[in-house]
Amino acid sequence: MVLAGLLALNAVAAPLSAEPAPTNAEADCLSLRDGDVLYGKLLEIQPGSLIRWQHPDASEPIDFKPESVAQIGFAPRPSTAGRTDYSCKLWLANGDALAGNLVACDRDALTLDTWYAGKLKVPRRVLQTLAFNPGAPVLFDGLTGLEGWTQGDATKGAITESGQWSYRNGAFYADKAASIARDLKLPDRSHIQFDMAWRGLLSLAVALYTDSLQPIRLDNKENGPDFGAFYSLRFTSTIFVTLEAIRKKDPRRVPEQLMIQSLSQKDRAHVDVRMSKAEHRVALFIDGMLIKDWIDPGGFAGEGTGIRFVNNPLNSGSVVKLSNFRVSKWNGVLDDDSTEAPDPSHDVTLLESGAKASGAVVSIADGQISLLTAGGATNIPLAAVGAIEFARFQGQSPPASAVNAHATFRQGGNVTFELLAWGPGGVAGLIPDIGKVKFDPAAFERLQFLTAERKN
Amino acid sequence: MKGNTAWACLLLCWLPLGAVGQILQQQFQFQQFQPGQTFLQFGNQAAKAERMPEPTSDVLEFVDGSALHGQLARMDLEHGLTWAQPEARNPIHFRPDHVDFIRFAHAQSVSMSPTCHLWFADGDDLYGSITSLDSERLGLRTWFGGSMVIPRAAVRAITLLSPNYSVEYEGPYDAGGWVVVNNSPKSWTFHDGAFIGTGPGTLGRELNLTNSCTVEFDVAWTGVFALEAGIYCDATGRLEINGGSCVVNLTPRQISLNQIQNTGMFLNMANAPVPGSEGQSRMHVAIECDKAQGTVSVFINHLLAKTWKDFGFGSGTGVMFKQQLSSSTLKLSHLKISQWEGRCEPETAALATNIDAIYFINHDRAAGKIESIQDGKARLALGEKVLEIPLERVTQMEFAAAKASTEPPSPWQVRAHFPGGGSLSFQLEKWDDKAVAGQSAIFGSLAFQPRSIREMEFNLNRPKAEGVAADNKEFEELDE
Repeated sequence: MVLAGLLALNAVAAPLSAEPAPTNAEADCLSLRDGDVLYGKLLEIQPGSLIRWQHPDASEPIDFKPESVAQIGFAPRPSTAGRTDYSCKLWLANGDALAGNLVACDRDALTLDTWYAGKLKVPRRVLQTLAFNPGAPVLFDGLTGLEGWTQGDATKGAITESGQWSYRNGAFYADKAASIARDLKLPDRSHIQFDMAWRGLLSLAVALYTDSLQPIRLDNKENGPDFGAFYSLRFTSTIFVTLEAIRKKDPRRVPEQLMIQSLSQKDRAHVDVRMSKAEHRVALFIDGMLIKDWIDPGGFAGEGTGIRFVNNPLNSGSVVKLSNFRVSKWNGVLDDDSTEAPDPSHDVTLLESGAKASGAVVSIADGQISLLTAGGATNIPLAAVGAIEFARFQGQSPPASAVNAHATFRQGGNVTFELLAWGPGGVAGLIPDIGKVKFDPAAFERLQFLTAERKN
Repeated sequence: MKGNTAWACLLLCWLPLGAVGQILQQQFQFQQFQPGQTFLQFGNQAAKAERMPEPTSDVLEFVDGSALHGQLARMDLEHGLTWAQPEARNPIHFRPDHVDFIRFAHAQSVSMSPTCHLWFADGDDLYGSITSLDSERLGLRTWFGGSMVIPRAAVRAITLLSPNYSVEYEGPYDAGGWVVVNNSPKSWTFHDGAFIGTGPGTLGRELNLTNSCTVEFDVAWTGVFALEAGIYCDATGRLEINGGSCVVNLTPRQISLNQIQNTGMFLNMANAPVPGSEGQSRMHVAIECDKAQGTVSVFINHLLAKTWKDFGFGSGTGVMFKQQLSSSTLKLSHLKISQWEGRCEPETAALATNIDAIYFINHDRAAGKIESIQDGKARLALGEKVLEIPLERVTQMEFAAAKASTEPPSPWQVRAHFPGGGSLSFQLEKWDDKAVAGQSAIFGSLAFQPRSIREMEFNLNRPKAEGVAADNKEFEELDE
């Protein structure tokens, strides 16, 4: 869907008056490689043979050639497991990520108990990073309304007419200059995520670790009401991003302005901000890519524990939408490929305190991690551990097994595997280095079918 | 008549023919223009002109956003819609209940000689020629049914076409005849009835424009955009537009006009704001170049933005569109380029009124009761007086709203859109590779050749998303 994805230029169809039209929010979405999309329900996959699909207006199931299907997006459905929480997230050397609860780890393998595929025994040689409590405790998960939020007075300093944010279907919308804020009691290490979509030029400011629920006029801050220092993350003219520490009395310096050219071709993006007071750090990801990892030489500026969104459109007609807003405690790990391995030849344990312990992880069991360091064997309570960076495997890997699919899970994580079957009997797959598994179909958010190039 | 492909269509039955009046003999042509592949170069000397690739398949869209390319095999009440999708192992049978439209890749233009454009109360519009009018019935000739008589109550307005009015281009249904100067990465591409510009680049077409002309199109965009629409450009293969070219610069908020001098210099004429620009992400643009008057008028969403006077037109004969920014995406669709002499087809809102009215070529308007059209004259009753007005002096007639028979709601109630303009709604009965058959409340039984239809719209009672004014519409585009 090149065009639909790029632009949403086509008018959105309103429902038929006589009979409710199917809503695509409740339907799976099949995307063909030629850009076509078809909503409906996945019935069956026979790899190499067919993908069987039911469209609500088709009189019988449609059998697509598997090679013509690019991916399937799945509507939310109840889990057969009943619970989908997890205490840690494991990144593999191939970039896959598995969420689950740690069962044990020894010199050979790490065992993870997952709600979507049962117990997975993962060889040590393919481990990259294990992060504890990556998504927990969740401090705020999803917008449910305006209650608890403070609409600010955005009349001063607004370029265009001012108004208020509105709420609809899990999202905040603003088509005028508007401010909305909330004290979320942000912890010292926090992880903030949200989706933003826009029409016209994006002009959004996000105040981080603020103590003011009212917008601050940056060009006149010294003469305005008192406020505690905060970080201002600003998206201007769609493609420019700046982060600036704002202090009441300090003169403003010209902040570094990043140009994210790719945003010009989009009308939505996923924003992911990870902050650590101890490390004076603010890391920004957009659509999963690390854009900038700022270390503030002046120390962490944020004095409050709240967040504020201010839309300040440059011209009328611009609209911004915020959704999937989620705040959690951050474990200190930048879980992307750019994460610097402290020492790839040794396991490194990152402690909640910010300290690091270098030494081979001998085992994890009974709430303790056993390390063999240069100074000898030592045990550390798991509760004090934020993450483990495993040493890179130096030996000869076995031949890569065939894969044909890449799944993204609804509660986080993704895996590349060979899909063996999808049907009424369940979802069967073979994960390289792990083995055959039976997946819970409710786990899948998206299933991409790999081409020959991707497989290689 | 140039470059026409022969067509045949058949009216299976029609209403009794009424009094036949004088048929106006002005010539009107719908054309499938097949120009030479000449490059319209517009300030990009190093780039190479290319033909755009041809699309080959129809597209089926549902109201839920599903979209499939392929080919319509057949439709009928019993079996529904049979769609051949190359990636599916078997033909797919769909019910029509949630189909939005089918767009056909290989619609063929029709040829005719109408003198007027009829606007119907149900939203349809057709090109044809009036033969008669009385208090109950309108006699006309249509391209699909020859002479026929229809209820007067079904007609909302009639626009009299100017002499030598011709539609030179209407589309795009494919990229045939267009050349593109793409920067890298590729800027202009064709996709599903629209040209998509994702970066700087020029799109052009030779059209042999010699008379006055109107260039109409829809433009939609993300972010901001800057589009140059050049008219009367030379297709000489040289690297600059020539003297006398008319270049309209469009942004979301402003319109300006450049007249290209023989020296190659741009003469920038006064700017004008885009009317009602707030909140827009799409607009309909009509650029009207009147060679006789030396004027260029730009209409945005059917509102006059500005008329520039004393424009010295040159001898170029092509059009071009230049996307200037790399940071936005443009979609150009519903292009219609027409030539005319004397006056153009006036903009028609065709709103319901409670009184008849006649618009004159001198822009006067007279309201009353249009009693008849006969012998090339319209009789307009103004109280006790009756005016007899030669049709040559009339640009448009509007009719008081009256109760007209309507199509019953049904999933098979469709509206066919024809190449070259015009649309007709009817109850579809059958579609196969030889004929399309249906029943119209106005025209009775109908039959067309399948290739005479470029788009078939379904579920006509479904509210259409018009503009972006409504609160929810403001935001729907942001919703996935």
